[in-house]
Amino acid sequence: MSLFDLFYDGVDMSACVPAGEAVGVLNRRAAADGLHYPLCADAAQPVGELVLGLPFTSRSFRYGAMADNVLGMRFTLPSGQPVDVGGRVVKNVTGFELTRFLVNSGRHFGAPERVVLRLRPLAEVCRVLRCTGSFERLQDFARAFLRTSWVHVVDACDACFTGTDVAYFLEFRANAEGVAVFEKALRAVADASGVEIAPVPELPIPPATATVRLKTVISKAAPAAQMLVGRFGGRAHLFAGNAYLLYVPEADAEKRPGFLQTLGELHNEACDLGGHLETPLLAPDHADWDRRWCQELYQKWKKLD
Amino acid sequence: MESPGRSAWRSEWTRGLVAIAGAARVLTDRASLINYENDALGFHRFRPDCVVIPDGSEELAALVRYARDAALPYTVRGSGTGLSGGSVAAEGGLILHLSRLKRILEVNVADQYCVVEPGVVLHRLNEHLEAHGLFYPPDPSSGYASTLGGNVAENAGGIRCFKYGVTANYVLGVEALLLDGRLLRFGGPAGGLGRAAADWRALMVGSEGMLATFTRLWLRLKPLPEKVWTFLATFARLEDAADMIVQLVHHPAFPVAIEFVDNKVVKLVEASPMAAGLDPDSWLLVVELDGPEPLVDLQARELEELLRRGKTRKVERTSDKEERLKLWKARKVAAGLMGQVSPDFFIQDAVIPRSCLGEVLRFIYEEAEKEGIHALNVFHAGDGNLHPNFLFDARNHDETEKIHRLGHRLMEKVVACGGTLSGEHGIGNDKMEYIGLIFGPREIALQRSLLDLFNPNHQLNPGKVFPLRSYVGCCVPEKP
Ligand SMILES: Cc1cc2nc3c(=O)[nH]c(=O)nc-3n(C[C@H](O)[C@H](O)[C@H](O)COP(=O)(O)OP(=O)(O)OC[C@H]3O[C@@H](n4cnc5c(N)ncnc54)[C@H](O)[C@@H]3O)c2cc1C
Repeated sequence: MSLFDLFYDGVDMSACVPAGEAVGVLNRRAAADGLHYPLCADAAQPVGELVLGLPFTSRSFRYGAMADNVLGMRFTLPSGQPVDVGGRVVKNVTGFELTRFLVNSGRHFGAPERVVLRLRPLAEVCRVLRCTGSFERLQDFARAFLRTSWVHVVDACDACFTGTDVAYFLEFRANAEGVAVFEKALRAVADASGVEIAPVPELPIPPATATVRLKTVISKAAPAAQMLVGRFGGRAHLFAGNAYLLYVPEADAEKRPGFLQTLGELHNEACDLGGHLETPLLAPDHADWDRRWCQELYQKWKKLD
Repeated sequence: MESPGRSAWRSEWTRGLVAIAGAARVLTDRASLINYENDALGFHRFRPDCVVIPDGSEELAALVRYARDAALPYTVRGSGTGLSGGSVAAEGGLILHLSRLKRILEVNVADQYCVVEPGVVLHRLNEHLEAHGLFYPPDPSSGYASTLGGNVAENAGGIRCFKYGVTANYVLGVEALLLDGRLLRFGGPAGGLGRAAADWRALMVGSEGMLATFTRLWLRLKPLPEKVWTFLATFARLEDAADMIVQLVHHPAFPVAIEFVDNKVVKLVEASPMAAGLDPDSWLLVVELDGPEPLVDLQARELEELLRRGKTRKVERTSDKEERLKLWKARKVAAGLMGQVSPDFFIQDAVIPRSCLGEVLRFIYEEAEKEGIHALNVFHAGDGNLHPNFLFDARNHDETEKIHRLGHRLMEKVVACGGTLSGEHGIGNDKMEYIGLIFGPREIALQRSLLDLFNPNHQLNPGKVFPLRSYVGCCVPEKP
């Protein structure tokens, strides 16, 4: 038996799926066992695209980054040869952490062929709360919420910025009693910050067309979103706990005075903090050592047969 | 007896090291060096030629540059609590002991991260964070002694990792000194890629001291949970405990920890002055739940019902801090007691799919019995992370051979079940021989291509993880 034979193991809560299979197919099967792969917003998205696409999604708030939830991969190298990294168990320190490396940077080195995903238990009831108020009040609310013990159990904490509107969305899953307890506790935090909350059917779907992706620290992320949308229009979706921002500028934004310069400034600030801003609108300015290492690895892996 | 060639070679570069770090922190006498011959694994002893205890990262940088130019193999050491023989000088040369790089440089409450030097001991960090209402979740049981540098280099896990994840999930950034003397930062407070297209930080975590020397770490923090419940459940049969593990793992309340203690350990505890008042012939699960008070109180009731519905003999639960410690007692005192009843014990580390727990545990007991060796199991059941302890006497060659055979058969079984060689202790030099069980030639070449980038002549921590990793540029007259 190879570790990377396709499998679905409901008992151990993991599955090895082809990279081209839609994540919804896996989630339908897993739902029958009360399980799901939580880091998915679009059920039609192929698993390979999902894991190499965004490093964070809404439910990364609770379940961690994409790389924390990919247990292993069969990966096609630039040489065209498949190579196995990681495995199927939830802890693995055998050799260098190539699974995490490839999930976060694999686009430069090849493509996954099969992916082993970690599944999680799915609670019966899902409650999404929409929190609204002025930006300042919502900031107070978010700061207060992120200091509470609820951060350990809430699935998602996203913020959406459109025009002058800002709203935070919290998703929580439990049984009916647990959900009632959650709503009561959140109302208390909201009241203390002067924020309104109301249940909504589901989390907003993060934009698939974001041309600007910013990874920064928590305190800088929401102000950056507010500033971008306020000055240049468009809309922004923030995975608040992970300080990861997806920004969809208006169609002609790059022609607007100051837009590219602002992106450059955000990029520099993020890089100084060990974050980054990715966009096709700016030329990449990767460090010399990074470019050289990427090139060397690529060349080496091209020759691996 | 050392050869004159080696002795002259040694005194030449010792002078250079003393010029950088001062004589008091350059150790060359036998009595001092013996302390660095092994890590907590206890065997695979190699005496370094010299140990230096740098006083800060600048001095460390000067030492690394000196070692490189003098063609000395060197190995970095945190506290030496490793259990895979990672921080020993397998080819002699230098050990850089980072115990003095122990400053907590920043705690950022708003952005929930801290910056530390690599020699900070894990528990000291958590003590410091308590006043800020924050904590650093990965919790290896060696936390009172092990350093964060060692934790990051081994990608340490621990009891709480079932819910909170392992060290890799919490490393936002690593500042590292490369073999060529450059100091680079991978990631940082924001935990992104920085000015890089690839995630080099991900490779640093778990790199077992082979890629670079960490000089500064950015770590993600979490708010302290409001309330914690601890449960203790006893079972008459292994299979019943194994069934319950699977049910707990599937529970949406997501326990923090699901720890297993076998009936042999319980017997040992109950026959000792540390007795916890347990039925000596029972198998034990210790489970913990944390989070916001009103929610965990509710979930604690659900979990209790689940445990009682299983084939449990007895279920206890408490949220009182002192009482919780009592429920943890058998789990926590087990390692110390094993050390008392046997001259040596060998703790293995492997991970298996949780669906195979019962089968692999039975295999361990049967194989150990065939060899006439006592096997005791205490481990992180929620993660399927086994830690069988084999009791033996290292002075008895025959017993050492048996331990070796047992280790080999266990690894074969683990891999056959779809598991892996290590979940948290790393490969070091102890498990190097098994690496071919898990990686094919192409996978090994892939892994080694990273060494070609960072440590091409294996000057940094030679003789670890991958076979035939010998320092090739060495001017050591003869290798030990
Ligand atoms: C009683 C006991 C219980 C334990 N429980 C656990 C547990 O629950 N979970 C777990 O994961 N482990 C556990 N361990 C194993 C051990 O404590 C961990 O592996 C720990 O992370 C090692 O830290 P250390 O500072 O002692 O590192 P060392 O043993 O000194 O070094 C370990 C490795 O890290 C490298 N290293 C150290 N510092 C640096 C640095 N600054 N830069 C680069 N490389 C560096 C070394 O070269 C070596 O390869 C336990 C050990 C004992 C003795």
